[in-house]
Amino acid sequence: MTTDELVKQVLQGILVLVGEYRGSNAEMAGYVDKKSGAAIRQVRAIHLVECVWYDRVDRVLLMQYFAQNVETVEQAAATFRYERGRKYVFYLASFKWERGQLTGRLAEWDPEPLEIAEEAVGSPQGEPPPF
Amino acid sequence: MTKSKAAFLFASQTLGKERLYLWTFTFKELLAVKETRKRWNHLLTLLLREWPNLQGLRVFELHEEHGLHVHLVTNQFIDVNHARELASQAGWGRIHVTPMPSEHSGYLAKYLSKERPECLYRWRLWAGLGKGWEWTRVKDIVRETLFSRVYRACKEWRGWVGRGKFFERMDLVRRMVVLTLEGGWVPGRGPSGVPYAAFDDEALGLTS
Repeated sequence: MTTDELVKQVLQGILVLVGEYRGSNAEMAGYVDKKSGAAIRQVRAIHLVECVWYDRVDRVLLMQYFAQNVETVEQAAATFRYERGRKYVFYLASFKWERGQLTGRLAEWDPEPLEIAEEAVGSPQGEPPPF
Repeated sequence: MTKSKAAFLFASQTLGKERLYLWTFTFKELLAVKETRKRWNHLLTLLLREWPNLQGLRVFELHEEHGLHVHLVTNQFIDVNHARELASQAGWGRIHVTPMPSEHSGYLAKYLSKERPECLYRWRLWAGLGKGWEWTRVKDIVRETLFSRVYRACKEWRGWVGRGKFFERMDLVRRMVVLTLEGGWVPGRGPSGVPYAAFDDEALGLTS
């Protein structure tokens, strides 16, 4: 995604978070009843993203819940095709600030790598004037 | 999902093997929440006196316009006309009852997902009732997440007992979660799957 496309989406009101991808973990999260041994489980992933949060660089934990076709942790981990250190655009369904930690929930759209065009620092030095 | 909601779902699974009945109790007039709770306690006493084997789960719901009302799931048919008489005796208004398949028993859990109104702070939003069955309580629920695994490992590593220094503990666990994600560590373990205790804080990256 280019910065122009990103700006367009932001202006449309789509909730996004742009940050540097730092790592992920897929897990079978849920609850277990100690009495009956019954369990409610769901595959989810947690992505760690570094972004500028007002005046500082902060780490954000983004939760991703999968559709029913992803049933195992391995299947979930196979969807991580992100490059560490690269900037991505993450589409958010919700986010909250709790006890000093920003967490969010990813929307169903996959994160997209952000392509930032290299900016020219100045015109190349030319020949000195002939006189 | 909160632990309370999970406990409710487990309890409703225990309650409902076959057919269930979903009751809704409301008032004619808008009442203060404390008054509603008082009247519910009165009604519950009357119901259990009449049907001592009644088993069920009740959920409080604060409606935007109609105030606090009560939903009840029972696994036994009780005479609705008689129940109406008792409800009227306890000062309740409308009663509505409908049969419900047991797999829909989690339906009421949606009320537990709503943000808790301030006036219901520290209230039990749901509770089991009746003798002869053990409903799941919040204390019976174990949470299995990355955070809880890291917390348990930190607890063992630092020898935490009791509930002191809660915020310091949370801060350490959050930092360990971040390090786990960044380093690709096995949850609850340090680099290369070695327990945290084998490293000092600097080696784990906690001092930076």
